[in-house]
Amino acid sequence: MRKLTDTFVLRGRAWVFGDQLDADWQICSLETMAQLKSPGGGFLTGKLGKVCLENVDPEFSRCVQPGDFIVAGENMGYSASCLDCEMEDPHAMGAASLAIKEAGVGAVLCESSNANFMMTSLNLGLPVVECRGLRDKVHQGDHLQVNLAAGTIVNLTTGDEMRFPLYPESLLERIAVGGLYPHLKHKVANEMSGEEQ
Amino acid sequence: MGQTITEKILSRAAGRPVSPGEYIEVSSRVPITMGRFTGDRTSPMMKELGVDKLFDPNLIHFVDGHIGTSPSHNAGEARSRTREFGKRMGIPLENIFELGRAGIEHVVSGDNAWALPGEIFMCAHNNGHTTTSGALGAFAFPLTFGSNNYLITGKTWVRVPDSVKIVVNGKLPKGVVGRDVVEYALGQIGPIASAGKVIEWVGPAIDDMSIDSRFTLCCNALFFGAWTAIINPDQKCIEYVKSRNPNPFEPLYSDPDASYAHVFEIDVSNLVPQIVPPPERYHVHPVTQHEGKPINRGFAGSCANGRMEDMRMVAQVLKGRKIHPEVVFNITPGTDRILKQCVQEGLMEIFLEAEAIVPVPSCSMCAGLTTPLGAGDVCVATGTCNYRGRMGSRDAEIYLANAATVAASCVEGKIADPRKYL
Repeated sequence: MRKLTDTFVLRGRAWVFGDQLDADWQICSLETMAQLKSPGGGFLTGKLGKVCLENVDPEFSRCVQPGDFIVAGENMGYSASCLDCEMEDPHAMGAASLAIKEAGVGAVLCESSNANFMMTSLNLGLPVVECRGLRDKVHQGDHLQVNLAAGTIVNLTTGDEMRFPLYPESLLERIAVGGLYPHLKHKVANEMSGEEQ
Repeated sequence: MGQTITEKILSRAAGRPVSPGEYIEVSSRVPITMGRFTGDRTSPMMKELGVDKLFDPNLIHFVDGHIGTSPSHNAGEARSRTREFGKRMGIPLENIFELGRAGIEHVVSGDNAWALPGEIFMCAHNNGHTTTSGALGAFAFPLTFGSNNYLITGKTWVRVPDSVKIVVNGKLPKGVVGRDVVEYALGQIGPIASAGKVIEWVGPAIDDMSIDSRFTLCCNALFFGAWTAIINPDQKCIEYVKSRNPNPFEPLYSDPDASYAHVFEIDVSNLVPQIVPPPERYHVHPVTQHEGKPINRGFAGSCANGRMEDMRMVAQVLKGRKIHPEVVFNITPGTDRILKQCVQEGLMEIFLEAEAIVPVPSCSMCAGLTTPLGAGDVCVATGTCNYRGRMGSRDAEIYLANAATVAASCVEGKIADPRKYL
């Protein structure tokens, strides 16, 4: 079995974007979501990775490798629409976070993030790391190593090292099992088996 | 070192002093609101998890108001499923705010003062305007993807946010209201400085401001990139809450030596009505810069500006006048309670005599759910958003402004400075 700490060391290439990559149009547009759903398209889960960031970099979803990082500037995940959701699918609230996760991105690294985007991403098991000064030290294509448990980002291409505030253990546990709901599922299952004994 | 109102509310919820950056687990004793569709997402999730109970059915309030009577989104089936879900979960019937006793969720929440001062107030979905209730001195935010988890466990984690203080000095001139203050501030500050933080509105102009205008300030927090917004509860706020919610509460206030990530000061003494042209949400101009631009649609309503203050401003402009023959003017009161008050105060007669239309309380035209815009339409609206396609066609233009500007523009058939009508 993999050790829990291994889960928290992520390696991949950097995909660098600017400030305010928004959840309404750039990461996964409401229009694209509508197109994917109609007619009779069913749930969006499983379809969003292919359209992730298509309005900013049409090649992104094709070229991104599993575990790569999005490196963004200020206010990552800004939303001015209040409608970033899928009506029926219980797993698809926060389509922007889901699109990034489904594209295979290992973590989002940014200068600052939108609170709802950050919470939704972490609840989906997609780490969002805020790290001041990050953009000056990371360039497109750099190889990075992110240690979530230690709070460090190492730019393997340049040797630069950066630190970020640690997540609490409870959040790391959730990230390790794939998010809030897989974690809750374990908890409910454990409680039920506890009751039976 | 003192604490901000936000840090105090979260400290009380956590049962220990907390500081920005800390992750804590919290719950709330005040109602949690759900929209009509939330149950649709919750039921399958509960089935998947093998749970059959909500944490506390008595705290769950369904508000069926976002789409109103609009024939969309499989509304009929969703209403039935909501009823069925409520019954199965043991949600009291009086907690189901169905059409006729509802309206826009965030305005209904404010009407009923569900968010008590000093408490955490949450909605079980992802609507960014839940922050509206911050005007009552509560820490208000949407649970987004964590909604179902909260509905089942009654707990959520939050990261204690930094606060940004916006000090509003001066006295608001006639015809300039909360909507102009929030847009002006957004234009000045932009959407980056407040990212992930809570905006705390303070200052003499906020003290003078009506509760309705304060709701408008807090409603628009998301456009600053902020998580939410909050206002320290003064006597006006306390009286407002007491007149609408009989439950006891203990308000909290920021300490004078509390620490802020940023402090911005603006003076509104010479502020003119503001306007937000399409399509950027945070590029804001004085209305005078766009005067004369022909328009053919108007909308007064939404969680930002569907309250009595807005309805009265519209009526003040429309009284004894007809709207321009090329204009369709949609006036949608935010809640049934506000609609009734419009009738009682004689505003409805003014609206109808002016030849405006009045759909039932809901998000209405703000989300293109009534009188959607067609290609080439130009609309002046008190709605929340001006991105392309928000109110209908992608090839329509949306200018956002206060209610009086919208009414004056509808009378003239072009963007107009409302101050000469007030």
